[in-house]
Amino acid sequence: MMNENDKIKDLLDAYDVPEMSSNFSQRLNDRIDRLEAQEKHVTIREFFVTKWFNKTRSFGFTPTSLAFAAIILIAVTAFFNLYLSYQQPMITDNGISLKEEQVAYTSPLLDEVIREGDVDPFIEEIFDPIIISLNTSLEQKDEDQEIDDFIDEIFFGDLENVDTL
Amino acid sequence: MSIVTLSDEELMINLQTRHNRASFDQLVERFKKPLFSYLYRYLNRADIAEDILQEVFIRLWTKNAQWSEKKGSVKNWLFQIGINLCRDYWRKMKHEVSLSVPVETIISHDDQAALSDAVLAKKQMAKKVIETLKNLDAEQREILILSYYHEFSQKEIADVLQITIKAVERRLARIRETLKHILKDQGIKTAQDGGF
Repeated sequence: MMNENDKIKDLLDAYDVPEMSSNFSQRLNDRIDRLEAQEKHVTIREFFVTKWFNKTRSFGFTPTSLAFAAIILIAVTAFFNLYLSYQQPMITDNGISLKEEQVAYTSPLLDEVIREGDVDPFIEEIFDPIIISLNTSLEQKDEDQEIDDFIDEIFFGDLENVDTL
Repeated sequence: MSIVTLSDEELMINLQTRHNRASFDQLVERFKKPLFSYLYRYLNRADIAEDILQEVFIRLWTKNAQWSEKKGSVKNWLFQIGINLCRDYWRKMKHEVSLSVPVETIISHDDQAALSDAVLAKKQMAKKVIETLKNLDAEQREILILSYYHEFSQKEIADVLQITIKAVERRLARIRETLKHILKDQGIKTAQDGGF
């Protein structure tokens, strides 16, 4: 007893295939010959990169694997560059965080004042001279102002009477 | 070693590495009939089937570097090219090609007079089978032809059509059902049922 599959196959077997044309092989050979002739006529000079790729391919390196290798190399180089350029900040005695290129514009005296919490030496040695220097320059300014006023008085008369003239 | 004794894959490697014409001719000799019968059953036009077959072999000659053992057997690779070319042709000629057209070439009126009853009955059956195939969609036809006529395993069909084995199983089961219905509707019986 035939099963369903055999029945279907039996039916499908009725669909015969005709013979191929007798000149099929000849036509194919002619076309291949023409292609060969064209290929010889057009000689393409291989670009050196193509040559290199073909050579590496024969060693089992594909363009994809080479691209991956290049990406990994770039990533590793970048990581080492970042790693080397990073440095621990230097902490000064008064707790200021510094990097190599930074210069601490502090004076040893100020460092000591901060460290000891004693402001007297600071006032005596730094603050007082600054105040004195400022006062001197203010006095100087007052003197200069007096001279200016005197000159104005000579040339323009009593300034208090200028408006009434 | 004679070229006839080499495997398909060895011939292909010969073709790839040495551009060997004898290896190419041997592969053509081995595959022209199975490929032609596939293409003919798919398209039902001998002339177009031959044109596409020629294109398959031209690609074998010009693009053999694209084949590697990872892609499966040479047979599967060639069938894959043939199927893709058929699909392209089918898409382009969707409205012009009819499977029923060449049926007339199978049974011409002159032939009918000269043929014996048995041969004529078989030809009539072929006509009905073609009509049956016409009712299947392109994908079902591809699987049916590979499975029934070329005895491809389910794995080979999966490789050629680039689908999973499960999908092949499902589609084969559906094709069997469809065929049973179509054949029943058309009143076709097998030889054992007294049809031939």
